Amino acid sequence: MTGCGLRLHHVGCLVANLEEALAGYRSGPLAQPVTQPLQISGRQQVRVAFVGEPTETLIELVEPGPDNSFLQKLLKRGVTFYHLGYLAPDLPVAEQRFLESGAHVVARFRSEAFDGRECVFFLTVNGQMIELIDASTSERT
Amino acid sequence: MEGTLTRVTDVFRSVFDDDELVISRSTTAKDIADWDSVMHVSLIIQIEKTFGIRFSSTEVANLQNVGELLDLVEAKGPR
Repeated sequence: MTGCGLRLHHVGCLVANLEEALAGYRSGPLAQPVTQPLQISGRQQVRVAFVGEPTETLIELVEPGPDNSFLQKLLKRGVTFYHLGYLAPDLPVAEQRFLESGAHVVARFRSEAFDGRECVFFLTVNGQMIELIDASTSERT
Repeated sequence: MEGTLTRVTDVFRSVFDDDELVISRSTTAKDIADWDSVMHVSLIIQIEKTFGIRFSSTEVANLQNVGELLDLVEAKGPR
């Protein structure tokens, strides 16, 4: 738990092929529960699935669509880990704290991966991508 | 203003990793292939660090070209 009540929910990792990546978690030494792939529409244009025990910090596997140029570029540069997702019990307060730290909002949307809850992506002054997920009504997906 | 353009150009070259990049007041995101929303915020953060200033979210969202960015930097009294 962070100073303003944020709890790490997931680590966002880019993958070129979601099914192939999930296969590595369905069996073998890394076998864990996995969710069904979910197509995220709108500006994000990604497919995602979560890996891990629901009560623990999850891995979010993210397969960028062909038109998601930013994530495609990261993938081509060999970037896999690219963001941390935090549950924010009080999203406006958390947002203010990030703004005061020098971070800027990159994107804001309601995410189908989190039952339509509001999500805000920040870029911090250290170049880290942080996703805040509104957790004011329920704790976890 | 010329000094500001030079310093901002250095930031652009660093962020886009292109030592030959040339910008002018009329340069927009359409003129630089990698200038997407995330790179835009990266630019803003690096310019804030370079000049010791802070932009509001509204200012960041409303910038239309490099000229407007330069004017905003100048208006905030860069260090």
